[in-house]
Amino acid sequence: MSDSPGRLVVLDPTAATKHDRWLPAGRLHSLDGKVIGLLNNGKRNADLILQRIDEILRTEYGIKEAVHMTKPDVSRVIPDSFADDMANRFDAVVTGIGD
Amino acid sequence: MKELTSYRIETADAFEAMELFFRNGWTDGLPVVPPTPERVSEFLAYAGVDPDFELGAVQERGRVATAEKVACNAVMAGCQPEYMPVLLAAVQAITDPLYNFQTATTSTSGGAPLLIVNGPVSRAIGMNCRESLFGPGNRANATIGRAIRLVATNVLGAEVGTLDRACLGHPGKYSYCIAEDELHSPWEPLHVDLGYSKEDSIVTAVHLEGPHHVRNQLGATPESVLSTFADAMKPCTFVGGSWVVIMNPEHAQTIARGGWSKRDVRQYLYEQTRRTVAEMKRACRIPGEVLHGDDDRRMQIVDSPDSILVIAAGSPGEFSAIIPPWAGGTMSRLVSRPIHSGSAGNGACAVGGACNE
Repeated sequence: MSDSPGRLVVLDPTAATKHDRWLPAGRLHSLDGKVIGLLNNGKRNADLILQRIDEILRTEYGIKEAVHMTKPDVSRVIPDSFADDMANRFDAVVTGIGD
Repeated sequence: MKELTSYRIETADAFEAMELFFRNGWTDGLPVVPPTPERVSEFLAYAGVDPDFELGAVQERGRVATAEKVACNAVMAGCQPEYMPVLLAAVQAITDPLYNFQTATTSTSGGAPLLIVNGPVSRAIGMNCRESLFGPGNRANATIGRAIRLVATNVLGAEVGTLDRACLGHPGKYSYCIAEDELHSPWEPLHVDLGYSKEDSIVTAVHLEGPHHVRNQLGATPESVLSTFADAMKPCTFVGGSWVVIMNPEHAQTIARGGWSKRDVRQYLYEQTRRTVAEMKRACRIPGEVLHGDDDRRMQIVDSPDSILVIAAGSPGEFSAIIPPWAGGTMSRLVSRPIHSGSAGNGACAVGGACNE
């Protein structure tokens, strides 16, 4: 935009989000026979809701196995090595935020 | 200097610009100074830093803080150009991974970064370290703290209702920036405690709840003054984390006259802030039923004496303050960064490796 005489030009103070190196994981067409990771975020009662999800996945969706894991640090993102390990072992991971 | 790259918006005048910023959610609820390209360039020129220089990032959010965006928000907050070196260092501090900006600013517990400025720069830019320490009234304290809040919202994504989910927050979230009264302190200042030289200028960021006043006009010995501080610390929310103790000159001098060092103060507070497990359970601070023996078992409120930062500041009188940590354990660490002189002062740049030609 060119600056017009008698007008006040101001700058947008916000920064855009840059997620250029992040791509969403490939989506599964079926859960049948899959190995699913259930990642506990360390907050109170996360174990209860994940246990219920575990039951539903087994009884209603026919998964092969659910593996429960817990974030090493409740307040920080998981290390890359932890994420890579899950990506190698599981067909999909269920996690959540909040408490 | 390189060209500014922020999107330019044409408005009729400053009043229309201020209303536009309100509508876009770019303010803290108060009017802002319109960030014109000329004013933003002046701030960057003072600091001797290119607009695209990256001060830090919050990787979880894909947010990067460039010098240009920090300068925009500094203008909006009402800063002067000579505050820029402090701001640039402060943004580097809060984006250090040890600070854990992502979780600290998202948390429902609603803390805020307290900036503590030490060294010659705090006096050069006229920061307040005495009467009415937490405000109002001093431009440098008020606008540097406000600029950090605007950067948090506009640049680093800590928008209320999305990635800032504080149940209550506290008034320090508008502005939370102080200097230490190094000239009237009986002890070495914070930045010397942290390993810097007295002549260095340093900003320290620590994520905290609001200040809690400590009233003591009776104590004439170190123990009798500090007992009130310990009593004030005990009921606070979290176990662990970094605490700040603001010690006014009268309290500090009474303690120092008793021959106590800052280390002695920290050790005493560490020891005197133990609570019984039974107390903690009855107050629902920790889970579980009260068991036999819990009345005799004690636990630490503070991780170690070194987790207590003792800052000499405020005016003489009966009031000092304790400030509890935002969260316990190691969830957020205090981070310090050197403040470099601006180019308008002596030809140096305000960020290492970012000088203009």
